[in-house]
Amino acid sequence: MSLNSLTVKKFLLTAGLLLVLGQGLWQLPELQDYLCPVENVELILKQASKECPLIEGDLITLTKRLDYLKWFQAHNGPDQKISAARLLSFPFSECIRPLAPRFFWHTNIILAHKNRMKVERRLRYLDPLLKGINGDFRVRTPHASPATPAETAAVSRSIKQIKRFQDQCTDYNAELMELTKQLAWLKKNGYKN
Amino acid sequence: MRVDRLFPPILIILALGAFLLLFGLDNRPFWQDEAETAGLAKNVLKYGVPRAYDGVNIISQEQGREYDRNFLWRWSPWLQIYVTAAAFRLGGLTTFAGRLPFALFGLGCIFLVYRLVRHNFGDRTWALCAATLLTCSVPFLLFARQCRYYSLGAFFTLMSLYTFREEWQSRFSTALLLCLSIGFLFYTNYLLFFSYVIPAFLIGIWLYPQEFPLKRTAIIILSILIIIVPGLFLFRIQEQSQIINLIAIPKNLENYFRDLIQFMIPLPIAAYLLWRWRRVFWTRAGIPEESGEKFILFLGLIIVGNIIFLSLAPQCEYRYVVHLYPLAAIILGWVIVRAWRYDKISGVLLALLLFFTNWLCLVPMEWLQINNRPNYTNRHMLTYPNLPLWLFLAELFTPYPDVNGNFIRFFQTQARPGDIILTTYGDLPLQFYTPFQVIGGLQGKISPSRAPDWVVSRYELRYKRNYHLQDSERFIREKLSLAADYQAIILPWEDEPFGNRADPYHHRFVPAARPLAQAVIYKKVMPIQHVP
Repeated sequence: MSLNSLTVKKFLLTAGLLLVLGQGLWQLPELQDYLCPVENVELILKQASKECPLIEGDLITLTKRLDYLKWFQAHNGPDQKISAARLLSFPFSECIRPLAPRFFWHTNIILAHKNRMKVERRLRYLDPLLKGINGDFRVRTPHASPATPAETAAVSRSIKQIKRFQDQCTDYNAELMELTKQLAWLKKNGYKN
Repeated sequence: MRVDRLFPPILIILALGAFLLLFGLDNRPFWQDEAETAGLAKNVLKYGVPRAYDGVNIISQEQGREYDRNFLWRWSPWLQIYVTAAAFRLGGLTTFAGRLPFALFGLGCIFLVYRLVRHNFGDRTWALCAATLLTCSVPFLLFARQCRYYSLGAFFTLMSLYTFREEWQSRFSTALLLCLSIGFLFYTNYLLFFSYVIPAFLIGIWLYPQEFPLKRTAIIILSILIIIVPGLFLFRIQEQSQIINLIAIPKNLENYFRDLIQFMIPLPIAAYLLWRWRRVFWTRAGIPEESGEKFILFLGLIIVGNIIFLSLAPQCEYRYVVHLYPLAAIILGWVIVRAWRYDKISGVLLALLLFFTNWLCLVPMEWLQINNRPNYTNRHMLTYPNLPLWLFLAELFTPYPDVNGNFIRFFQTQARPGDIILTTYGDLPLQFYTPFQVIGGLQGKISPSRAPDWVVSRYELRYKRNYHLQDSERFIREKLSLAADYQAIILPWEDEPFGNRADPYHHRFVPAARPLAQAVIYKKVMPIQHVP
């Protein structure tokens, strides 16, 4: 029985290591490029579809934080009771708010700046990626070249996607500018107690 | 005569280590942090002490907080600066000379790892495995090849562990060496000192209570205190401790532990060790009897304690755990030997995975979807499953078009004596390699005597600790009119954020196939002179 259990353990250990070895080998960039080359456009679109929700998430957090700060400023002081909704969104901040309002204010201003910086950095990364992608298309019109309908459809689908991402980036930039203004105003008209 | 007597394996490992650490050491110029050390060392040769101002340029990355009224450097400890200065004195003001002593300390680490295990536990296979792991560890090699304190920190950490196992209780020379190695660790980087010494001392007392005779321990502590007290005042530690950010601690902890399993100790091995020592956490009876395993537990707990202490510091940087690489190598070497003794095939597979790949670190993290891959990383970096040594050798044999190297070459050929260069980053390499006045970077407020002749607005935006834009960025946006007064020169190379930074999240071994942003330099347009 114990011999069997030992053999099973050894087998499992070897199998686990082989699995890692196999997957590592499969993911090796050189091998991937050789076996299933991916178009640069595809990679960028994949990257953009990953980045956009992150930017959106960061913008939502920033908006919520600014609303929170505005609410705090409007109610002018630490006397407000702890709210469950705010506790869920900003647990640490909501806990310290009644205890150390000044610290709360400064911390949240800094965190808002951090949020803003994160969005700015992500956009600065994504913008040139999407702009540079245009050069990747030698968009072939049906008259100019004998592209198959499937190829043409794929290209036009990609172009649509790129356009959508570029529009999204423009919206994000506009939203970020607006939120930056609000943050600057909040900082200027800071905590007054 | 046996072959291994003629060529002892450790000599072969050391020869390999020497090659990996020294070959092409000056292929790429210093990047910003290295240039800080090199610049200060250059000033040591001139003034005898590390001054941040040499009459032309100011060395600063913290808005001028690093020096006092006399420009004396009072931010980071001086040992790395003096080591570099000594190397410059002997080898001239070159990149190779600046990096050489640190690479040699890296080599010393490989030998010490072998010596520590072999001498204390008499297990040659384990010792060789550990030394090989450290030699093949690309992040360690990258950091040890920098003109910066990293390998010094690892060396003194190892030396303190070595002397700790060498009867310091009865032998004066060993006790002295223990004091000096810990004292030097402080002067290497006090963050490493505090984060390593405190947990190591506490865990040591807990695991080896009989090895801490009260009187000798008190003398050692007192001696160390005497060594470090001047530094406590000189380096303005109190002032810097004010920037501890309580809110960042949980995030720092998360980042450090994730980085630990992503680049140092693979998650399956960490999980195995935790499972193996699970009883230790509630009863002393769980402490392993066997001396080798007990030492491994000691090292494992030091790593955990170290990270907990490090997470208190505001900046969470991977470089602060580099001194733990030798400890991790000893732990992993022990695990390989155990696996080999348990099952030969598994032992060989594990050794292959750990020596030559980063797959055991990354693949399980991918399964759990907990890996960290910032958007600026690419598939040829250590954040992706790769053969790290292959990437490393590729960089050594196909020199990388380094961003700092390109800027340096540009200004060496294009700028004229007396020119002022304003750059938003990479000011320190330009200061070191060119004779011009270089302002901007992270130096803080800037007020040039006249409009700069050259402006380099780097693509990557740089922020201060409070997440506001750096002053140099703001100066360019608010005080200069690049469109009107300057001519943009678009250069055919990529404006990469850092250059030869060793951090696995930032180090590129092969250039990106498609650069994100091209470098742009702005040249001041000469006002048109009207001839009467």
